[in-house]
Amino acid sequence: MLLCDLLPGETAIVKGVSGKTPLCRRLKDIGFTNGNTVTCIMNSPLGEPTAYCILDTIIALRQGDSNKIHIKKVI
Amino acid sequence: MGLTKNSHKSTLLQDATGLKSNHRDITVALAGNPNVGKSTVFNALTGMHQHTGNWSGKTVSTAKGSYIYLGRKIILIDIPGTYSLNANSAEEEVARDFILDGKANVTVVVCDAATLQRNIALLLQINQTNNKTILCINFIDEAKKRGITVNTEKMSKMLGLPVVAVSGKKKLGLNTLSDEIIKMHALILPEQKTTKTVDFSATQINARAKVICDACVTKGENKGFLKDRKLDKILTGKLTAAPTMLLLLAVTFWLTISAANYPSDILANILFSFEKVLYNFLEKIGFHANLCNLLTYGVYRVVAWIVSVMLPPMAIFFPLFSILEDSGYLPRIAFNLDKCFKKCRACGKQSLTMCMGFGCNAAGIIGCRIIDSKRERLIAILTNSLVPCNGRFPLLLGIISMFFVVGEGLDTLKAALILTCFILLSILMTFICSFLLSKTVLKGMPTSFILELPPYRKPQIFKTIIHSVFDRTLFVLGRAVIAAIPAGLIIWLSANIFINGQTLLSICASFLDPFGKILGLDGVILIAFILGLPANEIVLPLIFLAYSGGSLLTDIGDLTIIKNLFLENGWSIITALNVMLFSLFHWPCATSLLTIKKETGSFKWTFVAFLMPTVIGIILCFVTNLIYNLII
Repeated sequence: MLLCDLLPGETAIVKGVSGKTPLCRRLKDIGFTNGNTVTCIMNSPLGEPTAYCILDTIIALRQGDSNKIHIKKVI
Repeated sequence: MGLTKNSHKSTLLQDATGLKSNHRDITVALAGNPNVGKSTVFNALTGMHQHTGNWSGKTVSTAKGSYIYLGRKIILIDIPGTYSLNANSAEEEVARDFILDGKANVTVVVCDAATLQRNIALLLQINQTNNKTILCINFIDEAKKRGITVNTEKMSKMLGLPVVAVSGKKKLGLNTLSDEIIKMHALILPEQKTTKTVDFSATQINARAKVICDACVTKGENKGFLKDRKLDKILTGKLTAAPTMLLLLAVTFWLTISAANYPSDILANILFSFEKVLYNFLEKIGFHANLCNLLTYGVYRVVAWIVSVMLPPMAIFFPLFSILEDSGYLPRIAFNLDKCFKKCRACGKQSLTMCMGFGCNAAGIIGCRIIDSKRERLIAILTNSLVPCNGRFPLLLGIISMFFVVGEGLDTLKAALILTCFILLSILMTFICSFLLSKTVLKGMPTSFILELPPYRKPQIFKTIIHSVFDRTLFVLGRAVIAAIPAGLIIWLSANIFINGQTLLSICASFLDPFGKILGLDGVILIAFILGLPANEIVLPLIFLAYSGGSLLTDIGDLTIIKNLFLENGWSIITALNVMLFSLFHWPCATSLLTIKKETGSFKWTFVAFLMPTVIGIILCFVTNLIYNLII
């Protein structure tokens, strides 16, 4: 499952980031690495970007960026 | 937000590292993630007023300051925030190079107590290359409120380096930090290899950071987090985001207008009653009558006008804006508007730089460094001066209260709404220009966008007001006065030098008049805008001076008298409207242009930045004037 499929209120465990672009490195630096918990907080009023809570910080990502992050949903 | 004395004092990295330090001096680098309060700690230690704001990327260049502790001079270097030593943007590169160069004797890694795990990941990276590292946990007071406690002793043991808990805002634990810096400096450690090729594997480091935080940090119920989410529901909610944004904008203007009226009147009365005294004084000490006239009715009058009309709105708008900035609302604006910017193929962070532009365009242009993509940064720089800066607000306010609403009470609300419409127009123009630029000269697709939404923080209202008045407003005003003196001289002289029975001013004005008339303006207004290049604040005073140049008006503190003067010189409602439009859209001020040249390093783009708003202004004024003339 990809992070962009996570709906507001849902929580997941990060599996990893695909790709080796600077963006992917940045995402890993922010904390999108294996084992960390991520929660989807809210969508922007216009639908995009979406805010996620990772390592106690709220980070907003556009869909084109959040679909690089693989997750496993926590039920 | 604005340019100040201190932002000029702040040195770039090259200067900061090139300092000749006494061997007893200790050079300390303040590193850390973005928005963990490095600048707040820096200010608390040095007593300087480096700008702080509650959002990532507020500090874009390196600042240096020093203080004396126990007889030792400690030189602090505030470096921009970075998420890791794998730098992704220009300002992160500045940070990384500084940390890796090892020019600092001691590195203090500042962390936010609420987001320790991510912060400690950076600390671990830095500690691999620099052995004299101290961990400074900031916002410790706020953390307590959020139910977070940190076992600093245990953390210190696990990390193998000193850990100090401080509150930069409340000035807690700062002496302990200074003690540790001196102790750490005195420590003799084996020279450690510093290399730029260290591999900072994010996964490993994050895992280690997690182990440490799990062992040392306990979290209770986080009431602050829930409160923030409730606020977010309103400020970024589907139905409420746009209305609250507009409301905040309108309220800010309304407060500015209604609070500025009164001090404006008082200042005008005092300053203009002094005019006569000054004239008599100059006459008494033996100045020639012409010189007395020149100094009094040329120079002094323009300066008095600027101080009385421009100072109060500026002094009120600046702090109001800083309060919004400190609260953490600006990133929410970026969050709300990102989709629009994406549609224009620009970066959502452009909202942040646009907002900074409301304070000062030059500051907004420097702020564009937070945008990573070069193309998107150029778009943000070129469109920045489309929003009116603090220097242009008083002109808009003055004309609105002269020609569109007259009176007080409910009418100030109307004035605020009209001003809000003008601001919305300038924001709309920013979108249109961003779109057109990325369709033509700056072709490309939008890149990634990562924005941190910081926790809401209660702004320090009193401190903000004091700082913005003494630090920013007076500095900006000083710049305006310096620009006004020669401009006032030129206008007065040209209004009083006669060639073939005509004044020089009227010759110049009549030369520009045909062009001005097409735009619904006149030659004098265009001259004022041209002479206003060094500082936009002086445009309206210059128009006024040019009209009143020959005559010796008295009691000009009253707006109705000024209005009558303008009417006598052929102003109509369309002149007023077009002066406002032209002040929104014309060439950026000289400071902005110089900043654009510095940031882009190219004359071509500086020229585009000059031309684009000017062309927009000319087209808009031409069209409105045409429509007006067709109807009436």
